[in-house]
Amino acid sequence: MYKLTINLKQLLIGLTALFILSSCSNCIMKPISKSVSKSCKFPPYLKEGDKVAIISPAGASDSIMLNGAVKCLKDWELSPCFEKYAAGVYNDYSGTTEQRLSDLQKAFDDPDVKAILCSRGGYGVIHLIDKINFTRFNRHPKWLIGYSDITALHSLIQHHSVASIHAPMSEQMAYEPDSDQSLNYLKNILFGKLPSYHITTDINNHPGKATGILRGGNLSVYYGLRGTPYDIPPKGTILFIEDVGEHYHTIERMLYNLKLGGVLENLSGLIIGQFSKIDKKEWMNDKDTYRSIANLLAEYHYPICFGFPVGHVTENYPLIEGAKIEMSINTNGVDIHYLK
Amino acid sequence: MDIQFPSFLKENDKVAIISPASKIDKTLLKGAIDRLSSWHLCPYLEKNASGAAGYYSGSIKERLSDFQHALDDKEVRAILCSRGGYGAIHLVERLDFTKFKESPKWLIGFSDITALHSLIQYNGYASLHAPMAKQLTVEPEDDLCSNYLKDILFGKLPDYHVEHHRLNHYGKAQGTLRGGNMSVFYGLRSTPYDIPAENTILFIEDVGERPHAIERMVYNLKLSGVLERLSGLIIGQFTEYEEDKELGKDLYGAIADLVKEYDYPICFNFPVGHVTDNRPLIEGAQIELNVDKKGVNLHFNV
Repeated sequence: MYKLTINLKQLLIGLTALFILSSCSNCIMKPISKSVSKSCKFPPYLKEGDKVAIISPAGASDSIMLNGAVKCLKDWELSPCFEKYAAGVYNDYSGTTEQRLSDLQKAFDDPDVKAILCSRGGYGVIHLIDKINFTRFNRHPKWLIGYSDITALHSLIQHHSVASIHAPMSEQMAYEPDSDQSLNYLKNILFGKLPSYHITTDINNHPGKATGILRGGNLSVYYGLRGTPYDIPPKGTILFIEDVGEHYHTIERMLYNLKLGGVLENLSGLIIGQFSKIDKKEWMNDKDTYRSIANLLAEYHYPICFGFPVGHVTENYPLIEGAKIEMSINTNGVDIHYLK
Repeated sequence: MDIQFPSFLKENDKVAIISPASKIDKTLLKGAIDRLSSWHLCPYLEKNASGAAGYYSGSIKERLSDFQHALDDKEVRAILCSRGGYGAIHLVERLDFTKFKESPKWLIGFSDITALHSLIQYNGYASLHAPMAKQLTVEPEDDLCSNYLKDILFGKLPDYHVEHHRLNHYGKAQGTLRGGNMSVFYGLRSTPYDIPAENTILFIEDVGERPHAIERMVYNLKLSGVLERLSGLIIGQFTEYEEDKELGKDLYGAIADLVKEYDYPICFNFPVGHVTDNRPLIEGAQIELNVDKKGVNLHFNV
């Protein structure tokens, strides 16, 4: 009887130890989403005469930018139309949350609308993110175009397994000439002609070849969705990031978050875009922003490309979020092409 | 997981002073030493506490070795971080808690030090979100918050009563007190050091952030279901920012709109943050938060 008690005790201790061990190994595991990036469904490409809705889901736009967008889209033989509050002004926004939401929802629901151009970013898309109904959009998917704050909408649309276009918006359409390269890439994509990009080599690049799903955008906006249902699954993803007007330490803190959160180690590839108007402060010393970012990424062996032309700059190459791409990096530079 | 308290201090106990993030003015280190000595403690500076390497007190290696040394020393009963700034994140994944667990000690600090509080809670111990060297130097001996800090270190836990605020949500809650600087806490979202939402009474404060950046972080907590799972929420001081028309409302108003739907107690304008009235809060402690029309009471259950 005594012996049995001991055995039971030992068994209990053993089981407890097992339980503790297993729960410990759980708690040191990084909270990586189990899901793997899958390529998203492409909405139908456009043809001449197709309707394009222009909305302002975040900051207010001015008439020069809006008229410029209309002219550009008309030049492409498309039929642009403004949603009701596209030219509205409410504080720094184009409208109240309800007004911006109703414009976006209307454009989403209209089966005749084949693409939605966000006139600009700014701040405010986050207000709409959990309020949009995808029932009709899923029946008639269409291309969403924009970048910066619009990154949150891209994440939302990828969450619904549909691809969208991270690309220049109305300002570029208004101020850049007809021959503008990034805009012409956008036009080509809309009409179904997918570009291949070649860019020059950068001293910080990690060579290699990877295939994966292209996702990302503005780092602050993407980081704003960490741990939400709209966060990006790192596995199988080739992530691209850009930002504007942030402090260097804020950028570093975000990258540390991706490192500590196990995102970086699980990516298939990484594209460091343009970090413009960065406030470097004294701690940067002689190191530049890219060099500092490169130090953080030194341990990863997948291909990493620095200085890709995506961000708050004129050379802002359109990238199809949710598309499967191949990225090849060697001493000759970086090649990116879309895999059908 | 139950969070354990390190032992409280007694006279002549050793207190390490480190600078795990930004560099600090030497007069503030001297002030901290003088104040801790006046409490009959034995403060000393770790090797690089008064160092300078650009914006930081030292290289990552130097800051790490100071902190590790203080964590490991059996005689050290508390570690005062001289200041925040930026840089604690560099150390988070590189520290070894084996010896700390054999002789746990109180960590004291706030702002960037929030990351170290999260790390210590992750390892199962309570720590002290409290004023640092500057306050211990420039404020007089009868400074309210310095004295609360002293009381806590010696095992006398305070009760806080603060004034009513029109945006408060009334109610009574029990939970584990966690939080700190919003940007720093947010920097650990979805990492192993993130704060669990369940049973947590979260407190947040920030300095020099743009209102839309704060709103974006609060939205994140909402969209990811953190806010709905909390037991209580304490909104501290948000300082050195410009109320612009970006949000179309003031910052407290914007936060209040986002938390409107939650029926747990919520307190606005709690004295915690980058201000002189920065009440020490024990991270990881069980507390009772009671918010009613007469004001707010925060009581540590020990």
